[in-house]
Amino acid sequence: MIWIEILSRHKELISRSRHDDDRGALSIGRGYDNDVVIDDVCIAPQHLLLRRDEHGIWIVEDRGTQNGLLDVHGRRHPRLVLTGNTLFQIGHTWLRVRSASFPVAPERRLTPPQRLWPWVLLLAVAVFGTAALEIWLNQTGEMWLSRYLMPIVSLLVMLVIWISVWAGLSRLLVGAANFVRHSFIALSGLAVMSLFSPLFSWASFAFSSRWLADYSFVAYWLILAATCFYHLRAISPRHLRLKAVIVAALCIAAATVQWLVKDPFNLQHGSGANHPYLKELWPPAARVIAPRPQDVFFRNVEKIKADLDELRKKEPEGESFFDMMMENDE
Amino acid sequence: MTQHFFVFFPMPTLFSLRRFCAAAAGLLLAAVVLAAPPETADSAPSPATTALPLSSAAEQIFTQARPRLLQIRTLLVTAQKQSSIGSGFLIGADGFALTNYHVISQYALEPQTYRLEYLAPDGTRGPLQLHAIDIVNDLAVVRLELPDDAPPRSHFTFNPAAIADALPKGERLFAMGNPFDLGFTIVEGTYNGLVENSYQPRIHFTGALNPGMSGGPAVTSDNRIAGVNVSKQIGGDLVSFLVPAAAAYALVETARSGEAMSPAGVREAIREQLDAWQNGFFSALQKEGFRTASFGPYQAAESNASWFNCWARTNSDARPKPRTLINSTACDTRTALFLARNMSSGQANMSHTYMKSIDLNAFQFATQVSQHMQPPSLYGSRHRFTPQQCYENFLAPDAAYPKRPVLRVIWCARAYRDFADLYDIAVAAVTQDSSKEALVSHLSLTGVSYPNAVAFTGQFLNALEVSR
Repeated sequence: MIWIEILSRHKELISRSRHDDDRGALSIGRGYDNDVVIDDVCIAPQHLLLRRDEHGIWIVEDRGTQNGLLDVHGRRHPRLVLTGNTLFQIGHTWLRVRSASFPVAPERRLTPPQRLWPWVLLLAVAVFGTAALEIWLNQTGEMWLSRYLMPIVSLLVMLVIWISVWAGLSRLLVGAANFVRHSFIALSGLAVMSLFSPLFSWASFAFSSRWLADYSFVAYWLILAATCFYHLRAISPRHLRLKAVIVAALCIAAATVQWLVKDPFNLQHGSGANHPYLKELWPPAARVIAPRPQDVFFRNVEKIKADLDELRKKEPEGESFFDMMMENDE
Repeated sequence: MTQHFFVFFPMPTLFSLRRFCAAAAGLLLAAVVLAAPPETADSAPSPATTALPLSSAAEQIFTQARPRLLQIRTLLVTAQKQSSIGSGFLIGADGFALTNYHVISQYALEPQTYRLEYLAPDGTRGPLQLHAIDIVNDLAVVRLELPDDAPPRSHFTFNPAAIADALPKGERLFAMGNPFDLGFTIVEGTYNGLVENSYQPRIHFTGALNPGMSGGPAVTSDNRIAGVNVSKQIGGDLVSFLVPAAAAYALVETARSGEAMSPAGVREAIREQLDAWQNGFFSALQKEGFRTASFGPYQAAESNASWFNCWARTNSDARPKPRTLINSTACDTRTALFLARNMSSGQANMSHTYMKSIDLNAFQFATQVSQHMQPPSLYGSRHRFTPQQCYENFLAPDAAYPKRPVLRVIWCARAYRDFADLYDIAVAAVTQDSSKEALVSHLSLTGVSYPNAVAFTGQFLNALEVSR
């Protein structure tokens, strides 16, 4: 017994027909005298002969047609030896031949359908709760509801748009929106992000490290990239490596662009004189590193002099905001 | 509520002049309308007809002084048009003249781009050489390029009483110059002694000085120099300032014996004068000493020097009721040294802000303190200053200063591109000993040597103490 499978251009199975192999040969073509008839104008009436060779292995032979027999790379062959995984093309049609003894993978464990929505709810509470907490901890004036509602509502709107785009793509490509799964992924990404943001802010204060504050954006791009990857995986679990490479490349490109844009900004204002980190304070108890002794502190202050004297030798670059103001003044 | 001194910028560009002409036309129109009624009035004498005749003293002084006055113009070399104007006056028969440094500052720093020209009241004009500058007193000595066989020029002499600072308060002074390029004018005013609480000596002159009169003479009734027009108080009425005669006399004496300055010489002179000035300023500051000011449980240093102008403010009476009590004092030196249109120097500012949480938690209070933490931004042209560099860290209590709490300190500095070894610095420090109250202290110094800046910052920080 032998199975002849007809596949789509994307190598997905369209139809499969069963044939007895006791005659030792089958014919394939457009004509109705064939064993397998394919309606494809680019296929000859008598196109292929499928038979066993002298060793008993299945082969296909071109019966002298104009378009011939092509392998997966589009190369033409007079004959092809068939393993169960050999794909070949005649006309616009892809074919695969498998014998009854073709091995298949063992059965996969049946997983009960995941009930994701409780998690989605939990994550939503966590994310919006964190956002509200952050607003509360930064509140120094009167408590107005609008101070909480504005950022939370805009976050919610952005989140809904983000999820809808992914669900829409999913619906378009694989026919199922998977709204709950995409919500889960987006909220997970946001939850990690809202953990990282105060963590970086705290760490840069606690260790008095401008480096941490300067390069935290890399972490944000990584989180965004990971979220996009999981969204892509949720749409379809195929070509995972390709998807990972694309997402990683975009992430690196975005981080590089931000770094390039950031650097001239720093140059313009000196080493971050207007850097938000410089004035960002946490409660004193949040400090981790030991305070610097007087002599160490002033030794570092002296180093600034050397930097400045080095900068003096360089020509100034471009115009500052101040220069522009002075010119408008006239 | 800090006060700001306005140094007369010499008239800036043609655009401003044009704008000004339109305004002047408007004024003329108004004057015509106001002058019209007396002609038609038949009975009641109007104020215009009963006004006293022009002071004969002023008339005599101006007639005598007229040939000694100059308009000093800074021309753009490429366009041959004036970029700014000021006044000046002859101080020697051989063509030496005095003006303000700020009148010739563009030429002093960019001699390739600008050149100097004088315009005498009789319409003669010619080039000027720069002979001496005194940036601290905002003075410059220039010399008219005259042919060797030129007749001696009529010139002013100094009033000996003014040089000795012995003029009586209330003495009548006459300031002359060319305001807004409208022509040479004379203004009567009153000598009101030296400005109190000013590190740089300045005469307080009660009279109307206007842009363009900078560098003109202010004379006593015997037509001898009492001071040099320099600036006025923005927002004041007739509150104007003169450079005392003594500084002008001293500069003229040094200039007479020297040659014309080279462009490199000008920069070096400015650098030396700034450097000497800041050394003098800091030793004077040390000499005056410091007093302890209390802010809640904190103590900080305030200078005893009278030339610091201090203001205090509180938010305790603010509505809606504040959630943090914020009391601050800020002290600054009133005056600045003018170096260029986009560069002034020689200022010191110190401030302390005490903050105490009323009902904020530790995180909210930290956010509130953050809003007062930013060191003053050192704005300025990139062609004059390097980008600003900052260093920040926590500073431990020191064995020598055991009562000083842990501080978070941000130190920012930038260097002058034109003058080696001079810097502007801005420091912010906040106490880290409590989550409910804090003292935020700021210090900024401009035109200071690095060792002086470091030493003074050290002293400023060491004086921060806490006692609970």
